[in-house]
Amino acid sequence: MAGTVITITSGKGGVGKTTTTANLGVALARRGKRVACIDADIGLRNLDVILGLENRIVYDIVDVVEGRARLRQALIRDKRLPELQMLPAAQTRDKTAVNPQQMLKLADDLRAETDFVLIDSPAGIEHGFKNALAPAERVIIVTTPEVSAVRDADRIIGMVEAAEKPKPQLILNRLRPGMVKRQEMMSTEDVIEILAIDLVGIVPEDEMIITSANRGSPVAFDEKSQAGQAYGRIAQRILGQDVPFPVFDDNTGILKRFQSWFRNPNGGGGA
Amino acid sequence: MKTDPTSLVTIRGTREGVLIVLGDGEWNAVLRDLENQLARPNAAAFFRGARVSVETGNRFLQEDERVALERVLAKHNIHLGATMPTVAQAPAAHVERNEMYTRQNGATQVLMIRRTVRSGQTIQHDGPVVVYGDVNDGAEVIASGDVLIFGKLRGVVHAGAGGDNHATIGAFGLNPPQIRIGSHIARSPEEQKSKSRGPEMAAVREGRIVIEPWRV
Repeated sequence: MAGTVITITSGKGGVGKTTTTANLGVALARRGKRVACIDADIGLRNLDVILGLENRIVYDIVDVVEGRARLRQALIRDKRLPELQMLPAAQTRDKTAVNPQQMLKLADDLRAETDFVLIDSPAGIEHGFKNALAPAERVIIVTTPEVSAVRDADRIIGMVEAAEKPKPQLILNRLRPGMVKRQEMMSTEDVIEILAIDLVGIVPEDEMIITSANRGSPVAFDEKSQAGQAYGRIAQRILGQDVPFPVFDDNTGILKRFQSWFRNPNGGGGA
Repeated sequence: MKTDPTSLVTIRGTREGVLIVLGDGEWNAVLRDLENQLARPNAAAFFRGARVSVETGNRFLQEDERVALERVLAKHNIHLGATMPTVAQAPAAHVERNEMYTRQNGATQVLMIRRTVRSGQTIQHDGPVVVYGDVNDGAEVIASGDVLIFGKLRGVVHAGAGGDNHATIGAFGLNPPQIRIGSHIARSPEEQKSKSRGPEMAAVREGRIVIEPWRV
């Protein structure tokens, strides 16, 4: 059975599209699904770094589209998790190197051999976003609880609707429960009320995201951190399971401080 | 002028002038189709001196799309009179479910929008506008008549855009950054945007825009 193409987008930059794509890819692959992640951010590729595959790139998406490489040659299989593959973006070209028809063809070829094709969309509403949106069968919008990010997400939702795609789902990223409690940050309910789409996950702010990105080993690999567990739950929801939304603790709460005493300060393991 | 039934663009004469109806389909294909039709030999005579309005089908025109449309029409010396982001359809059961439609109310067409108007979307209408949904931050509704919002208003609304200072704006929650009625502009107070106080309306009283509880 052919796989599902999911585009992960946001409008605003820096809200965590690439981190989300990498972690959902890992979380789905850990659940036995064959996943291909496409980095559609041509010219500003990042997904390879987050996934820790940057030194294995030989061919990229533009090479495939322009016929210099076959899809199989360009795909990089993650050695830690063989179900996970990545198609890197080209770093030396720009968004116009690929058009929506080519993206459709590419996604079509990939879905024949996978369960999920995750497309990491570039920020913005221009050509690159349209490329990423064209093959989407499902759309996941990532936003942070900030007024500017929510406004941009709203804009993107409007454009997804205009493209006659199914109603997008929302991941609320980098939520800080302590700030919400002090009414210094928009709550989940505030964001949902404005955007009026279904929530598929909440990822709390977690320093582990940054250390894991630097190490090239997404938090979803071990699902021990708060964020890692959150991505695990999102993967389950994408697979159609009904997973309740937990209430997050204040990050500075006593439990968190307790846990940090037990955690090896050097991060243990590594890539 | 006869049009090909498979065409994405329909051109027809109405009592008010010439109406160009843009059908569903990819925007560039629609524009190309429009160009082809305008390039026909008898088109120039058909359009001469006519008041031309465009129905944009089930889509909101983005700014660049509007410009592109005007450019295509200008190439054939056609001046764009009005654009309506909706298709007025013959009454049928399914019409009630459409996201946007107009309703004849005496002499004025009321534009009904059954959806949330999102950031970056602009509604322009010559007449009153009714929204069954929210008007979000970054969205714009410009109407020559009243604007009634059965939802929250967080975007910019200009009622009475033709200069009618008697126009009113009503919403279940009135939280816009700015309100315009006729020739008046009011900014939202600087202090924190308060939580919903229930249905409210904005109107011009004694030369300034005031917000009061919505009494019907």
